[in-house]
Amino acid sequence: MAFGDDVAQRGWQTGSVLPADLLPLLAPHLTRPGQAATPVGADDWLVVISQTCDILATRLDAEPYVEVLHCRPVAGKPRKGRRDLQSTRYLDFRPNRDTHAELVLGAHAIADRYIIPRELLAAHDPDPARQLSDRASRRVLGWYALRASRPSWPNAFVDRISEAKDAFEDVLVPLVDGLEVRVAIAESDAELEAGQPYHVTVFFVVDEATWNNDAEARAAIHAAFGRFVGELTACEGIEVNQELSQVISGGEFRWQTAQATDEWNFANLSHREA
Amino acid sequence: MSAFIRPRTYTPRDATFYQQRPAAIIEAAEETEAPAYPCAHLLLEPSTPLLIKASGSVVFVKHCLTAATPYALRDKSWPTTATAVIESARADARSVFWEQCAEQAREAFEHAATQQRRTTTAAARLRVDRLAAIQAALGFTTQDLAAVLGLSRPQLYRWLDAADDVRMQDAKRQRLAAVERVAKAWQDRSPAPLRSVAHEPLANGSTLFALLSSDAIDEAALRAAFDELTAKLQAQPKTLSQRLADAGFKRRPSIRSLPSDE
Repeated sequence: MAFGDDVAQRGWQTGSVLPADLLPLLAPHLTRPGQAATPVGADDWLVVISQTCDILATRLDAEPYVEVLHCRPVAGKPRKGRRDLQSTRYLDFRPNRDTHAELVLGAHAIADRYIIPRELLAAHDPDPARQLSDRASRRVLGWYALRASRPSWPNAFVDRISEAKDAFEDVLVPLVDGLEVRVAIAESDAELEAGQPYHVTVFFVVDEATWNNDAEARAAIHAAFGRFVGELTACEGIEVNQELSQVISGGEFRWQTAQATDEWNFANLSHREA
Repeated sequence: MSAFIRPRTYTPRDATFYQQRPAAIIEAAEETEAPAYPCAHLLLEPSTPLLIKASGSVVFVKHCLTAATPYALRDKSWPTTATAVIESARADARSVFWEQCAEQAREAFEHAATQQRRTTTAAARLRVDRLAAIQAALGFTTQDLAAVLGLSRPQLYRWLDAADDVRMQDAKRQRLAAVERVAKAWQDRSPAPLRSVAHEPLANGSTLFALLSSDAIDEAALRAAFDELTAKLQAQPKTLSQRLADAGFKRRPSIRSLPSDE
């Protein structure tokens, strides 16, 4: 039987949680250079975050390690600024509504991420009582994908729009799926001095089916566009191009335009060096 | 000087310009589209104060200018103890100082506008909702919608901003109502926006956009054109993405579309 089959039979997949009896073997791997092993509390979750295909790879030498994320319980609800993938450094999330209805976990993308030998999985079953839901697993993987793919906007730009962040959130969060906000920043590579404005064009790209068939959703999107642009225009040192900015059907928004724009998400609103 | 600088109250509309009026400064004040303005007044030598713009209750504070400090620019948001005083300048350098003053005034106004909490009113929200419903039916670009409503593009953006409590003139209000009726009539016929056929030539040689943006909107003519346009819309070939969807290739959900934790 191939190595990956052993692992598969035990039920390992993305979102599996390492069992308590595996912890003594993990200590050497949960370390940083020159530091003692990271203590893992009884309520902490060590979640496997590698893709399932990598966890179950047939040959051990092809995928010798799996990645795990050390998540700790957070009191109350997911914290503002750390929920809903708003930060690429911190994530507060609900691991599984079905089995742990009230539990919220928190983790740091880098400080809490470790790699462990994959061979450990072949000799142990995952924790039978704890497992990320499919939604939570997709969120965690999406969080890392976002971290790798997000554009890096100038600090000066981020500073100028920071005061309106809550307003932007109010505008965008209630909107339907099938909308993507994309922005073009003419000076995206420049840290401008005070008095030098950033020139920005905003596109609300609407799913073609929504554009053609759902007038009610379109009305909500147009209202949000007006408010979003209004908030952005009110930010000192930001000039919105009123001619080019628009709500547009995804059927009309071209690849060429997509290349000149970045997707707006709140994870972009952090400083480059932070 | 005290004859000019005394406690007085101004509203934005009553803001008064005294004495000399450096165009750049006045433009800076007037171009700042803030719901309210800070008070900034420039003193051109002791006996000739210049008020640039005032809003709400404004109390002027006395300045003791001397011959060595003929220019002073003050903003309400600045502490009175930190009044900015521009040092004396030669006459030939005064234009430079005026530009500096204008820039400071512009920054002060923009800063105050940003700091100010952006609030909204029921009337403003209603206006935005009406415009959003029109756009849901028409789907026009901002430029085209502005033309249809008889507005400049900046004016339309102000109308679209619920935090901007603009006052509509009667003519604009009537125009908005007429366009609203046309949009509603189209929406009753088609779930798709008009945009893709608005510039298509009609049998009479005109286009719907031309009819909509003419000085007097002929609603009967527009409604008559709807049948023609509905047929054109239905005859449009499917886009590549529509054909992909028909063939079973669906749009993949984005990360953002994952349901919220809450």
